[in-house]
Amino acid sequence: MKRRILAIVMDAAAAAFLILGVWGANYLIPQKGVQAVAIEDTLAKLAINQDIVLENTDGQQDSLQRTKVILDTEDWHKKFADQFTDTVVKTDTSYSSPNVSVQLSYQQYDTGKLDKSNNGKHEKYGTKISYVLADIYVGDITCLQTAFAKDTYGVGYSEKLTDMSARIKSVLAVNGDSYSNNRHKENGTIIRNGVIYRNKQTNAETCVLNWDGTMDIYQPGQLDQQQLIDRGAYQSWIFGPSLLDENGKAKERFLTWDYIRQSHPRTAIGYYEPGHYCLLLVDGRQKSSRGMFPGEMAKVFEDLGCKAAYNLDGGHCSFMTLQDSIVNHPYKPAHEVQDGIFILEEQCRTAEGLT
Amino acid sequence: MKRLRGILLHVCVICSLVCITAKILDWYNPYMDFTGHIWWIQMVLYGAVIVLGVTRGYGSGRKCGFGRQKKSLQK
Repeated sequence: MKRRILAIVMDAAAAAFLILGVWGANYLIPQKGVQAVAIEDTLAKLAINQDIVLENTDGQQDSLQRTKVILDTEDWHKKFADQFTDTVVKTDTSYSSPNVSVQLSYQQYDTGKLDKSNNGKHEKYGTKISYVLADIYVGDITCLQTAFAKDTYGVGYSEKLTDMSARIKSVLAVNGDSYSNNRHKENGTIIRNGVIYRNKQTNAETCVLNWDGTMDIYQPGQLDQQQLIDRGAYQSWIFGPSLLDENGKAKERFLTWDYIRQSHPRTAIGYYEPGHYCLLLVDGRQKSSRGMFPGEMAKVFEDLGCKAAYNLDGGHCSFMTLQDSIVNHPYKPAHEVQDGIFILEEQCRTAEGLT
Repeated sequence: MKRLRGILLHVCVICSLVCITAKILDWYNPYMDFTGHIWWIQMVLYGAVIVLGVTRGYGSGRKCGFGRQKKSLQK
């Protein structure tokens, strides 16, 4: 009997070793890294109409396509003049300058609803929800940028959001969609700061922010690279689901999998109009906040009056920083993430004259 | 042959545990496609099962299975 138990334990240990090996080799060890293109380079290449050629970590050269820069005809500095200030004004919950306006608001309420999914594992977190909402106005689309961990596109690269924020000198930051977590062959199109890093189909909804400041949600099978180039796609995220319908009403059915339909800590982006966005950070997995169901989050965006809203990666990846300090209340200490969305001040520049 | 079958039996158990774990991980996050990354472990499992089946069931099935049962019934 002892021998049999020992044999089973040994088999289980061997299985665990194999799983860890597969995990490490495929997900943790950095691979296929491509140095991210700085937005200044993208804009400079645009001026001379040149393709971007990059060298990846294997020494091979990658030619990355960029999208057309089609800017909004309206000057956002004038449009949102009442939101900007002549000088930089900072508080613990706000930041304003001639280019950017960020206002944080904290909300907490009791839903009276327990999450009974997953065999009641979430019930211990109770019924309360707390979240941070960042209301954002930008004077130029380049004030809203994305960045990869370690400044490298690829699998296995991660970095703390606070470190990324400090490196990029951002005003506000949230985690992104953890683009490299999706390891299916058809894992979607990744466009960051106007550069196409990956172009594949996906079975998830894709959120695209365009150079003109508008936001589009593409259903599976709708994505076409040339269409994205011509439309002037600036950023794309693949996680989802999208939360609002075409009329800005909260959806009732969400294109995602069962685990995501449970209550979790969440990060999401909302779109009001070109130049005006919001970022929502929901705390979760703790007594003070159990996290949100997608439907609850959709209702928040509907009440805010957003035209489009999209769920990004959540759980332990959900973090928001203002001036390099974490402003939400994560249930675990800082976790390394693969990418982020950043509101920038210094790098913010008018792209006029580039098209 | 007996030793080989013993090894293959362990291979089956190990590979099965890996496959079950991958399925559970994929349920939590299908984007990870863990199952897709362990295709070679699945192939090893299938191979081991086939070899076990051929050597154990088909070759000596009567002797060790039905044959013995028949004898014991006769007694």
